[in-house]
Amino acid sequence: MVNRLKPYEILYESLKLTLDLTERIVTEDEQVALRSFMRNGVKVLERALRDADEGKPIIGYHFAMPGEIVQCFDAIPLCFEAVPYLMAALFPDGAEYYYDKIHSFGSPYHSCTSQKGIMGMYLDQIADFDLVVCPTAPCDNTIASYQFFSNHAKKPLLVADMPYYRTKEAYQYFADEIARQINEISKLINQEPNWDKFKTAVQNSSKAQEYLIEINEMRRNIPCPIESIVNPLITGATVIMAGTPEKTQFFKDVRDLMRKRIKNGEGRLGEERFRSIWPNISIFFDIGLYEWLDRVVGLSYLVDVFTYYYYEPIYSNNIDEILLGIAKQCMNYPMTHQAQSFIEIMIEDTLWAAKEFKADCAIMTGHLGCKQIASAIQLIRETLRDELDIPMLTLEVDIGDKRFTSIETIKYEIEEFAKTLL
Amino acid sequence: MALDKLEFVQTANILKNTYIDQWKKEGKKVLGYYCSYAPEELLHALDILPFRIRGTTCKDTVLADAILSRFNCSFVKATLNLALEGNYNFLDGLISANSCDHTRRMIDVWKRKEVIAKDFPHFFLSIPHVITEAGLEWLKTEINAFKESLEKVYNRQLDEEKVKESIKVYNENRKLLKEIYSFRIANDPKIKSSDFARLLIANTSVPKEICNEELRKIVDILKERDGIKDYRARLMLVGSYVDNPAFFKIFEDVGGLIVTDSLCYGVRYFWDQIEPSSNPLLDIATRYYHKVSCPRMMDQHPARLDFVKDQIKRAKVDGVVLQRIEFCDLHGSDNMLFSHELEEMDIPILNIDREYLMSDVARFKTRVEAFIEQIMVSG
Repeated sequence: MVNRLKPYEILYESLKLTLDLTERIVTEDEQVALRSFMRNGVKVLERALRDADEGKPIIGYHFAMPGEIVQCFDAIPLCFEAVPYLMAALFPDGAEYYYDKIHSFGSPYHSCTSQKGIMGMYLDQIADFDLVVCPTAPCDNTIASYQFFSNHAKKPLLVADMPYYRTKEAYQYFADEIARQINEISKLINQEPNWDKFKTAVQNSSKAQEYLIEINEMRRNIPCPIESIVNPLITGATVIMAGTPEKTQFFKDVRDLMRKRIKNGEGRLGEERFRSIWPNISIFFDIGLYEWLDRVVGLSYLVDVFTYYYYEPIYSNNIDEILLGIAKQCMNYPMTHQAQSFIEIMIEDTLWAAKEFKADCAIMTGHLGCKQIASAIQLIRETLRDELDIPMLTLEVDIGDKRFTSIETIKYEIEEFAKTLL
Repeated sequence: MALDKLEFVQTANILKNTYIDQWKKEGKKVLGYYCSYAPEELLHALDILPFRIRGTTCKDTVLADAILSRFNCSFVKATLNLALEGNYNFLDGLISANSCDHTRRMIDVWKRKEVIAKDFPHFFLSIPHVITEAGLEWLKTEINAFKESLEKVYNRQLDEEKVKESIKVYNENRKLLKEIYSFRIANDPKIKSSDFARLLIANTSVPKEICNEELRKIVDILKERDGIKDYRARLMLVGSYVDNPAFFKIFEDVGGLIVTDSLCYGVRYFWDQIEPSSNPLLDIATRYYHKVSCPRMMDQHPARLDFVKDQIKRAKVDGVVLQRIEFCDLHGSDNMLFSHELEEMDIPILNIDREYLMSDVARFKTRVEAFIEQIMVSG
């Protein structure tokens, strides 16, 4: 295998090319958030590729595992779930070839594309890694698909077991699991954890979190001062830039843009006719959808499960306290917080977000992979209707595969839904 | 004597049965549970009857479809439908666990929709997904908390000696089932898998002392029986939950005998005993934690593979049927791994999906028949 990090190389080339084109075509004031994401993403990927050339170990990690723990080591973090969805956003056929690859190996069509992309890439011998870290959350697909890496790819799989509850005891149990994971990584790659590097990574993410809290304060404004596309961008930055200064920079750029717009009395591009919250995740396979929502439908996509989340930034200097903070953060991480435990949490969060962000409606991506949410969709719809008189549209989609539900169908359903809001 | 004529065995065809009627008449409680990780011994020690939730008698899922998504497991839909129709009103409480995404949400739906009643007691067990020392400690604490919740809700105290007695009763039950299993894997099997399924279903619907008494009678019946000779292939069934004897009959009708399985409502239910010590709660936790797992246990795939391989050899299996209920990601992915790993044993494999309500029997039967032909040709 020539390049074990081929997926990042593909993403790097594509992101860099798109950035170059964007910078040539649009003025400095346009597409600020998208450009910041691309600039910072390119830097993160460039660093990973450079490190791969130097032969540093590659640690595959699950999106819901704090990527900061990989920063404890002189190693390359490779976020498995980020790869297919970034490809879906960047290429017309996304990672479909790799989904088909793993399907032909026997994977069920209904398991989650977020993991199937990298599984297919492993079979196609364009991705490899030294070890894998993941939690037992937020869903069956995490539990099911990651067993491929340990049992077929024969990679060490370090699993941090997450309890179902959000209690003091549960947080401490999970903090101990993360400590065990770090210890095992250390043994496997023969490196001592670099706690200073770890603290810096945690500080970077905490600073980004402070910006996000301010971003969310500003998103309450009517009209919303930021474009809908910021939601998938925040999701991408959260998972692929974990613990890096680039993550902090991206969130700062978005914050600064919003501050400026509010100061100038400006909203996002396009008229805001409706305000929506998305109780699950963005659709990645056609990010042109979000500009269409803003400009054509006039529907602001305010927040989703990945972008309204709150956890306390970690300011401590004490490693045990930081690990406990990371454990709390991970257990309250997007999607994990809402969907790994009792559904009351997701229902309460959705109600809270609808009220806080002054939403007129909700759009639920009933993603094929999200069985943990599938049983809750109707409960959420009824609660929004009964308590806030807010309607919810459910889109049955695969967020990373356009073949399941086409973008035309999605747009048609949203248009018809929007008519009912008038 | 045909086993399906026994009153005990016939309880597999219905939900509420006469044994439950008698139990309730005595003022005792019945608790429903979805997952085989529910520690039945504790309930038994408190004089509570554990009843495994199943989809028996479900004809359609019209009511459940209005609540659940089309991406939900059809078994879970069937059980919810039955509950919404009032068929589970004989239950006095529900136990759930973080077993899989479909079943763990049932506690949320039952609660939120007040499926049985507003103040219907619900209990939950958070079970670790990996085997570690800390995990065992967590489960022990969890089982203790579960015990305390039961004591509080039902206003009674659990006697440790009673738990030890219950462990004996359950160990005896598993021993008897294993004895019957030995008739199933014999060269000329003395019990068909459809009948074996009936026994197992009845066994989770009737008080255990009665089960043990009935199972002893069945052992005696089987001892006297001639074995089955007119079959075409010995099969092993692996994968998603099966609680319908008619499902096994599809195989039997085309000459396939399922002589063993790796199912949570099958051999895995009784395979592991509790090793008694002076600490019965720890003994229970240890058994449930280390039992042959389902794919919810993230680090136990190698142990499951060993179990499947061992069963193939033990029961002289000619072919393995890997099946999953549609939208079951856990078994779907586990089956994907098995389908490659079992290649080294050079054993024919059928990997297939299905609906719980058996709406596609004809397709399934054709596939099974073709599979048996394949075995006959290759064998």
